[in-house]
Amino acid sequence: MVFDRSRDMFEVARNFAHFFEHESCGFCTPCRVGTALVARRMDKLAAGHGSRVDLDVLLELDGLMHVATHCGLGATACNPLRDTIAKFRPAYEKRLKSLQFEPGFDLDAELSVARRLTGRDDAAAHLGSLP
Amino acid sequence: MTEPHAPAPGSFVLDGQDVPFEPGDTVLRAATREGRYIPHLCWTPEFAPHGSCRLCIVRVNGRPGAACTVAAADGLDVQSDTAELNGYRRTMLQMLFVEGNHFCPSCEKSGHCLLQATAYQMGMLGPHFEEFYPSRPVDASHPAVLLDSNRCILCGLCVRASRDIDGKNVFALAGHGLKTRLIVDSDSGRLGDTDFALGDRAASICPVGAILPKRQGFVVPIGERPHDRQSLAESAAEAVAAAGETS
Repeated sequence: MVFDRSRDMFEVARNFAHFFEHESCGFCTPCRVGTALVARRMDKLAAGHGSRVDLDVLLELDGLMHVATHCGLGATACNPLRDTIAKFRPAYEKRLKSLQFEPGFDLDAELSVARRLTGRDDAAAHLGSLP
Repeated sequence: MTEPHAPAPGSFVLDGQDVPFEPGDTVLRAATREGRYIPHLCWTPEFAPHGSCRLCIVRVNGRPGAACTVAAADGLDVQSDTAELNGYRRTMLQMLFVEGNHFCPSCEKSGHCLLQATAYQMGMLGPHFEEFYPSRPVDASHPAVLLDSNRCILCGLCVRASRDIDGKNVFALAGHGLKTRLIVDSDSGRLGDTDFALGDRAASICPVGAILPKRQGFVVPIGERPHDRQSLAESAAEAVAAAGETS
């Protein structure tokens, strides 16, 4: 496949991830759940919630699916992912929020209920403002 | 580099030790008969293998394969109890846990559940992945049996039991991908509108708590349940011996 330099290779891989999630027949565990987990991780990265750990988990899923799936669809579903991480890693890294673990949800947004109940909205009531 | 171990005729090598096999055996059946445990969820010796859970993943002469479907043959070199494969098994167990809604402490099947016991056996400590929390219906329409698809792991054992032993074809797996689900053969789609009965083999074969008899809550106390008393290797070997007597 040929892409010119205007193409975002992370989005190419994310598109493949959703394609294979949809194409999985659902027969075997590693492909049925694995393709869905990969697609969700890629969405998490696209939403700006990713961290280095997510890349490790994606490569872990790639390794499992290569060996354990029933057929070739699952075994090769992560090839676009693995190749783009290997050859276009900056496309991934520019999306990483931090080098540490980042939860899949927005912790500060989750605290909005607590802020409303306590009637607080000062700087110290927001996670991002803490040192 | 050590020389490969040459097995005796009529046997293959599993993790460095000979395992004798009989004609028609798969790697999993022969190993289990000998009390050599290879983790599995969707296989019992009663039925043709399904090969879908992939827990019995082994390396046969270096190539990956499901032990429940690989035919035993002279001189095969099978690796099962390795860090690589046990890691894959743990990950696949975690996948099954996050895919459905599995709340062991409140489940009547706890202690009798093959998924739970295998997860303990493989040293799974947590779900690792984000939970999917799918919205799945509970079918309580049958007078004697509860069908809770939240706990279904899509092993297809009830499908095979209902088709091959009960002759009723009550269950099937439908849909594809993550939307694969267990369906029931009635116009309404409800178990109560089929001829399913508590005495059917399919009513007692579920390895998890998806198909449960009603009105039997905690008859056997926690601590005295099958997987509390017996290792998975022992119970699997007993099942192979029992299947051998009936066939």
